Amino acid sequence: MPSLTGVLVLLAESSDLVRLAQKGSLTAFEKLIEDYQNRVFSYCYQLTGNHDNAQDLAQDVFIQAYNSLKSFRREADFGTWLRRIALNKWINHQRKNKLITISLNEPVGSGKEFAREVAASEESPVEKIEQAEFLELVWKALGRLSLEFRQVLILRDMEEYSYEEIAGLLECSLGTVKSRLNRGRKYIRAEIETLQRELREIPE
Amino acid sequence: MGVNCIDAGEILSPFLDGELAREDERKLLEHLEGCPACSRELDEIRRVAAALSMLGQKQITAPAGFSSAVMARINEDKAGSTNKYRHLKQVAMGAAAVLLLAAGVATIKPELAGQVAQAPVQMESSGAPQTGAVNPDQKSPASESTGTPDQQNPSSAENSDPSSDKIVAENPNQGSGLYSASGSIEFTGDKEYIIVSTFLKFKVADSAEAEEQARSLAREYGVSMQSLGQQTIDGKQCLVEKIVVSSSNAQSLTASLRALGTLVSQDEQKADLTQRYGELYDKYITLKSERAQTQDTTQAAQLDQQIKKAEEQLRAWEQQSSNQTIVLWLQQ
Repeated sequence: MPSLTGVLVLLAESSDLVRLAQKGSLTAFEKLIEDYQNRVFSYCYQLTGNHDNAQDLAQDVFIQAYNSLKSFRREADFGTWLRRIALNKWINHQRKNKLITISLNEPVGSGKEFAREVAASEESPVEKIEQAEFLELVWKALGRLSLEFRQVLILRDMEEYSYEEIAGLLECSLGTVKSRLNRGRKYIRAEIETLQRELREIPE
Repeated sequence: MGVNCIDAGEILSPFLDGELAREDERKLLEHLEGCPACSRELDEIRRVAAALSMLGQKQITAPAGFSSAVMARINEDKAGSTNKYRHLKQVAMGAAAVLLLAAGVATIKPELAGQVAQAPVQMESSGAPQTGAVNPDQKSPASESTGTPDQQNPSSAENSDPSSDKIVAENPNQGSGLYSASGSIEFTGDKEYIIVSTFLKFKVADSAEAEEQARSLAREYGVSMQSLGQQTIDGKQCLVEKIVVSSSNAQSLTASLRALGTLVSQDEQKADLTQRYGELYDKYITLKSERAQTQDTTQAAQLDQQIKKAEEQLRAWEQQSSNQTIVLWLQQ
């Protein structure tokens, strides 16, 4: 027979779950993970660009969430709070590792399936394939950019933060954000063109 | 005055984001009307931005077993914390001593060059902690024996040492904080961290010429040579140089360097940091979990400091143990 907490957990909404977890219920926390894991994982995948790294980051996000549960104010949205943890972890991690690994061509996942699924569904099949191919190119090109440009493009275009928010997150000036985005957009287009050229050179 | 294509190229991006001042926006729109090239450019930028935005909305499913992996880590942390706290104070002392050692190897100052050969040994022995066991799995040839008094200590304490079970992230499902393909601190327990420094003293016909020769040899191995300064020993000029080369190339570079002159003396120092690395890593993990739990801002700031230090140290050791430092004395 399940414990009383167990029953409560099964019936609970996420705000109740947070409250139970804050009181120390591991069952409640596990249920929270299950409820939010896809959202957090997707977000981490977008930030890190591949499956393994997304998994590491997502795990760390939940561990940190567990350890800081007490500081979570319940009027806030739990999902938003988790996103914030993920973003901070990602940025801090990169900041710390910047000096050690300056990799211009950090590989990200091939993005093929990812892009295929994303392609909008209301278009015709041909358009859908073209769109999917384009998304795949963009995703690959993004992975070829150096960190500083990849970061601002992810934050601006994928996550839709404002210039000001990005400056705050990355602890740099507004001017830097502006110029990095401007250059980042040029570079990603150049990478896309390079990739397209490379594709044409490979005989089908 | 309107904008030309070059100016336009600079403001297309903020324009797209609605971050352009109204006046600039008006000028740009004016320019775009008469300039198909810039309009096309804007369309392209917009298309890529739209693609990124779509990629940003995609939901993907977390891998099977995700939540149990997280719960396992949480339970592991809980179970491990009591032991680790107890162990922490002992480790801290040993770690502090090792910090000195690593700093000593990394930054040999010119004025210290005369004592450089002894320096790591002294620091090593002063750092030999009471916890001081040798890694029983040690595979390194402990033959040259110039350094590391630790190696002679029997390691009976090893089994009772709570730090000996510090294998972390053995299960690939239990992430190790590796978010990017770039390195992150992880410790699998099976890697050795041994810092090797080789000291070569040559008698050469012309020290400046020998220096140049050494520099070009280093270059052949894709590494640079750093001048540590010069010293006058017995009224003779002596140049001191440092080369840091990957461990795999060290031996063959050392052999090539023999051509510089007459080898007067050669000395190799080894410091095995495997044990300490593990201990500091343990401390690092404990600090991180403490940091995550604390509500107190002062304490948090202190912990951040400590975490940062530990992390820098671990990285430094990783770096140093994958390389070998060669110090050259070129005496005329």
